[in-house]
Amino acid sequence: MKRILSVIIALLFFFMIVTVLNSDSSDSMGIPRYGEVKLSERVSAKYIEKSVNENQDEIRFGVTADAETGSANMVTSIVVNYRSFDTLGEVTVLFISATGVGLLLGGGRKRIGSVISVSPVVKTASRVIAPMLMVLGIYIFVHGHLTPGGGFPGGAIMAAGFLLLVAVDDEKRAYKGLKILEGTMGLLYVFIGIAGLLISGSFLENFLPTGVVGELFSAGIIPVVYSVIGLKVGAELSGIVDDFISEGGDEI
Amino acid sequence: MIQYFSMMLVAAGLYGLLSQKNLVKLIISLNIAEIGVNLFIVSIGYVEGGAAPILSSVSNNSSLLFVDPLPQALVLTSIVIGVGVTALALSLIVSVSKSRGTIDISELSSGGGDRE
Amino acid sequence: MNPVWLIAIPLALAFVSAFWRIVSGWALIIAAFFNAFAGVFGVIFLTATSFSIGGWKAPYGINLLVNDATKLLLPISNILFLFAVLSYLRKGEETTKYSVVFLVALASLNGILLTNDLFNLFVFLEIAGISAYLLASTGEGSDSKVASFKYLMIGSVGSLLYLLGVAILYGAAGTLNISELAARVSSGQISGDVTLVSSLLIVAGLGVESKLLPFNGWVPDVLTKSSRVATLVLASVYPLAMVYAFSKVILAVGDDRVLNLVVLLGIATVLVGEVIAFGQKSLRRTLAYSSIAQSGLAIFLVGIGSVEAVTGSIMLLINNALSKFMLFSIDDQVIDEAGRDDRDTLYGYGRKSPIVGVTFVVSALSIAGMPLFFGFRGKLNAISASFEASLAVPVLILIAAAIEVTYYFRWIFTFFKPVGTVQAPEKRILPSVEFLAFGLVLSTVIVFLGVSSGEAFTMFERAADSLVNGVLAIGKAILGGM
Repeated sequence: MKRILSVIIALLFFFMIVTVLNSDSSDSMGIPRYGEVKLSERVSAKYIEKSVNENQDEIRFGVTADAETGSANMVTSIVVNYRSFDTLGEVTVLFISATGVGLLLGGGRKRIGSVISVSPVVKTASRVIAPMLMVLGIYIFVHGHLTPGGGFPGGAIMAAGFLLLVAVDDEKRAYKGLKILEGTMGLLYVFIGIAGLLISGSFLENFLPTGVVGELFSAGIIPVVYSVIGLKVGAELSGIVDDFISEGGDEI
Repeated sequence: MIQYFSMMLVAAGLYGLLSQKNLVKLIISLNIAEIGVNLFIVSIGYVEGGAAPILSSVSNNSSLLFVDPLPQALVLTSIVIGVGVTALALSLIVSVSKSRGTIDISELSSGGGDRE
Repeated sequence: MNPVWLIAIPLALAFVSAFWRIVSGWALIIAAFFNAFAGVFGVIFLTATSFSIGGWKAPYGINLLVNDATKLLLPISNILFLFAVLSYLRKGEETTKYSVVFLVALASLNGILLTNDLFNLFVFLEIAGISAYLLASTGEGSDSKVASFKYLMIGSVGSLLYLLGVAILYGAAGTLNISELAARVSSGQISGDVTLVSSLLIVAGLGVESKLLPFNGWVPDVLTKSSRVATLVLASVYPLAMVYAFSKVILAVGDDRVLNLVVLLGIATVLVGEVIAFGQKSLRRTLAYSSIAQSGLAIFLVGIGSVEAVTGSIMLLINNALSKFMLFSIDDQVIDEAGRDDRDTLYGYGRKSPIVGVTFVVSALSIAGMPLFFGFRGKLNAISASFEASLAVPVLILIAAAIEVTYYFRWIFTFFKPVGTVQAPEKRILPSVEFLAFGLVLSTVIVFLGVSSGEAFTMFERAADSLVNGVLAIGKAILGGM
């Protein structure tokens, strides 16, 4: 009975969305058909042209200097500059989740051992690969304004390096400094915002020069913020992994 | 087409959420539904023939046709939020299973006491 | 003062508390005091309305909106949070252990009240939601963890649906700014199918946190099983922010048919909440179901949508926050002293502890809507505004109000029933100092607002007007300037 009801509700939901996708938009704006979006009707037109402050010049890769956000990756310019408050909120979500996991599970001295015994080949190889993963993570978030990726995937890959080390070695625990790194990086992000408030008048405003579009040292505070976020996310996810493998902890 | 597939994913996730009893399966259904919603949001921004919204030596000026970058930014945030909620939910499951000994939601709701 | 400080300071202190154990206990107190002062003195005298984040003008950037409604609700929320934190500071180490969670909750609640962007609201709702799931799990034993898990499940599904609604609305309208969307929706630019589906999804999403039927399965367990300070915050400050967010969004982008549905759901919530509350044996469970009913009242008024109705909604929200704070504090006092809060334990409690008894009378009668108390003005507005909907609505509200008055009076009589005999007179119980202080302040406010004359009430009307009309006006200005 419950299953039939669930199927009915799921199907109802599906059909409701299908009708809105097919709605006729003759005299009013409906959802455009897949692929037929007119970007000029959306706010994104100004994000692409980097003309929110009414700058009408064309942006050329490697040539234009002092553009609005200066970042070649437009998604990054939205995430870290135009809608930076959302990213601060996102960082906070991850932070509070990691804190919650720590409160519920953490604090155990012993570690949960793995059931399978790992061969020495894997152990040695992972000690070589894990640092490579960490460097890859660092590369991704440092180049967040030039290539796809940014702080969050970069931090996640760094945590994957840590996870690899944890998976092959039964004695591995997190480094002591991870919590400090996480908290300090979060504090740094809020301080960058407050610095923007005190220097330029709005919270999280870009107060560094934006350089030439496409170079490594460009885009003002964007690489700084993404590095901060990358380190924070890496430390946070490693902390979550560490909490999950710890045994004992608070029996509440 | 992809919009219909993503909605089917969401519908499948909703079905799982409504009918499953195992706590871990509930989390999996939630994740499936979240993936469906994220896919749908990205598909809202597709422009036929548009390039990926990154200025590079290939697509090197901003007057070319680009895909809408805003939904991608929204999805970035949404994925991370999903990760956070999943981590918290899993740790709650571990905590509950340690003290109650079961991860079946019908057994938990009928109130029982703590194990030992 | 830029209202961003209300969000930035608790957040910064939360990050510091994560790694510096010594600071964490103090950080919560410092942040709560700062927010309370800044919330009152920094916000009330503000003249500017829109503060952009990042320096980008709306709708290209996110902006924080300070209108008459937020000027009213921000001080109240922050002060109530301060009271909650101070209430058990001496006794429990709960605030020290969970100080990070409380700090993030404070920042997110302010963010919800201030933001003017749909996706930013989603992010802050998630932050507040995760903090709420953690606050709900603070109770002893595993019951609170199960309640928190259920809350997490329902809450996550709700935010998923909300996000889908926002995505559909963005697909059609091309912007995420609430004011601009209000202008576009009201001028009929967006197709009816889109507004209908997106409003439905948004109501489902925001309704979970606002305790709307049928999404409120999480409420009784969470409010009864979490620890003391957490319950105070979850029962008094959270509903203020969440229902305000609901009003803000639905009044701006809601489809008219969905607004009618909201009226129906709200009334159903009120009736179901009151009926179930009537039969409860434990005071805490009564209060939990009464909270559901109060939210239902506030929401159905939002569904009606006129300035008078929204005025009533805001008054009921504030009344609920103040009264529920005191009622849950009273319940904590009883449980502290006697261990349980069922009817037998409470017999004659009001005689043993007269201060508790008086505060109980004030807050209970205010929620029930008796004259002389603030709740009466709110209920009056509610009933007179509900005549607009149809004639059946005021009747249903009056029935629900009658049920509510009955069970609150039953509890009041329980409190004051004489128990002791001449040989063994009842001993006096003194409540804690904090309870004395806050109870006095809140009771005075409730009675003052209940008897004061009409001039004091223009601030509620202006708040409602800014919600119903002000947001739209800003949106039209944005559209005109583009």
